[in-house]
Amino acid sequence: MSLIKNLTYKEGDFSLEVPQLELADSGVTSIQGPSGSGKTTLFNIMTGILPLNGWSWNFKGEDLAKLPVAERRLGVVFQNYELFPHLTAAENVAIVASARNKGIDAALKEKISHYQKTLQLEKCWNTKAALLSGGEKQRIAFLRAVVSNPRLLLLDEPFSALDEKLRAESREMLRIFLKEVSLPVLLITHDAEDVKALAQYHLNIRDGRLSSSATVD
Amino acid sequence: MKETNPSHPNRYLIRYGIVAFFLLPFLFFAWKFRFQIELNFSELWWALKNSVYQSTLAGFFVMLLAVPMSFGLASLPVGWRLMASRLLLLPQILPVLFTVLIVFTIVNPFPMGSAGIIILFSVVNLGLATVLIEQAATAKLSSLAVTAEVYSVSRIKFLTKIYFPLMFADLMQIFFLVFVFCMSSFSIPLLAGDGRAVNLEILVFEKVFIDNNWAAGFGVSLVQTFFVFGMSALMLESAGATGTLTHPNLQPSRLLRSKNCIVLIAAFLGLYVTGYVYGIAKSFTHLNFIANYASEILAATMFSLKCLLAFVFLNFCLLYLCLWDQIKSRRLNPALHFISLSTVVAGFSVYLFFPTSPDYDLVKLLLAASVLLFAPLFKLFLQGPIEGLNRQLQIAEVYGLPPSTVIIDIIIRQLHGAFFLWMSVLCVWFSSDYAISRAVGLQTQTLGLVAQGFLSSYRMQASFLMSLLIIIFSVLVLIVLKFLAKAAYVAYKKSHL
Repeated sequence: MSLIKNLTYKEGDFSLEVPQLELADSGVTSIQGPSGSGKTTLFNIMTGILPLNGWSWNFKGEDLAKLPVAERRLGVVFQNYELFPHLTAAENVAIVASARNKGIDAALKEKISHYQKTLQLEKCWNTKAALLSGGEKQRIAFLRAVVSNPRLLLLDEPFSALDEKLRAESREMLRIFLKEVSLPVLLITHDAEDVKALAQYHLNIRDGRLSSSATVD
Repeated sequence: MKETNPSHPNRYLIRYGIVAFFLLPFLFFAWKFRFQIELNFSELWWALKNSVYQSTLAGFFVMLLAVPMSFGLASLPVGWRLMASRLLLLPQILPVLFTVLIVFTIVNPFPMGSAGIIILFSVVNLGLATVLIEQAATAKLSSLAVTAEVYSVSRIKFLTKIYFPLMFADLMQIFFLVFVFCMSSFSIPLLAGDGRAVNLEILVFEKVFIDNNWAAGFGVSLVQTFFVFGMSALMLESAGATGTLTHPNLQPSRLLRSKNCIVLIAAFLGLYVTGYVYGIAKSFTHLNFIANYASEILAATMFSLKCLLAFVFLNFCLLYLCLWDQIKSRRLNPALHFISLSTVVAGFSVYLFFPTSPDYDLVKLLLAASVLLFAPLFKLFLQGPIEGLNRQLQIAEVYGLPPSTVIIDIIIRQLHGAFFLWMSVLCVWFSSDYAISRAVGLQTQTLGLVAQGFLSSYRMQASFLMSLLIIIFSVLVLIVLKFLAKAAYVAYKKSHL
């Protein structure tokens, strides 16, 4: 169990108040809320992109909130995937894997190759990210996050850039993939279908306030 | 709200080390004279009046022409608009020497003094102002102009009720940009001024180099610096809010366009480009004259080459450190805001710091030129494109990519075009410089100094030929540098496989 405490952020009329938030050590915890409820602000604070003092995030005895962004070691999938557009799919994965693991050894190579097959990325492996389809970008973003040796996966609206049909397929593929990688996941979404398909634990967010958690299934 | 980064204790050392490097000449200048200030108020008032008068009038004329020209620019089809924008930036990108030669050819006899300075300031800044106004108007007013057009709002009403009220902040900002450029310019008044048109920068030069009254030079430079920084602050204060960007391929609304104004652009570019081509063509008849100076020119070329290679290397190191710092601290190094420093103060400080011997010419020129040219060229060519990669830099930070990987694989690999342009201008500006060389009291001749020498002794054709030589010299050096950069990148990739 990791524990976030005393997270308070104010900007103009908007305020985000998270006195306490428990995140499960395994499975998917989802935070669902409408636009403007503070989901992305919370996500940005957790990743460290939005710097904030005075809060704590106890993760197995270590306070992640006190660590610089790079040392929080999170696997992050952004809303628009944010791949490096000039690099190929392979380079996008390699550049991150190499930085986080201090090089790519045989075991990691093997792991990448395995996930490449699981996520059906062989065909687009040497294509520049700017030329990939939405679904391919999303799968590369998942793979990049997983091979970055993360403590936790943070997913920010990972299906919002896809059309309805692809979303359903992607949810199913991600459900199987997450089971295989067995990492704790925090899913941030506005879509109840995402929660239904993936989450084991669930929270709501409205006007910067989280409701108490409940188990989904 | 800021985080500390315990893994990089050298971060602050690098950050403030860069700032110290850029401020060093000025701090040394202040220390050398123990902050003794001597001011002759009547002289100061006279120079300040000239500076403000020249800068204000130049700013006024630039704005008066740039607004209609921006309507003309917006009327051009996309491809032409891009090409015209680049050509309009030529007077700002090319060294002042080129513009001086062109204007001297077109405006003949040239009115030396304040009128001449104002003409040159206006020519140098007109294109840049036009492009900036067009970009600001397209970004801010595109959708409003379409709405106004749909509701049949007349052009006069659109201009008075929408365009000028909403663009006022942007126009003021561009005016101050021109004003600050003119206030801090040394190279134009040095060539086009006369006794009656002395401005602050020339007064500092005269106090320091002619009267040897260093305390007075320091006093005037303080006033000049105060003015430039004050105006820069006003410029930032009046920065307009950014609007919604529209697709660059879309033609702006009819209300933001005027085909008649294309004539102004065509006339300006026509005079500028043909002025130079005409000057060069005419100067070929003077090849025999310049042949008499072959040995001096060869020596100047060799010295310029040595200086240029060292200058490019030093600027690459500075660039790497600035990017490293930007990645680590998520903001621009403060030194990159020092864009309008006094050429004379920086140059003279470096002149005093080193012994008076030609052996130190290289290092003097390198230091002063880097302090004066690095920041403005970074702002002009690299700041915007790098800011465009901010999101990618955040992602790289989240995933802990090392700064060297971010600089080479994310920034340079995507922006190699902008970096090459930056390097090209760096080379051309440095090769044709005469103002900094004069300010550091250079004893060895450079290509720029030879060209300026010809111009000052009214041998304009020889000066034109020198400007052509400078272009050829810079292009050859650039080809070699590009080849070296490619080889270095291949070696880097091989070592990282």
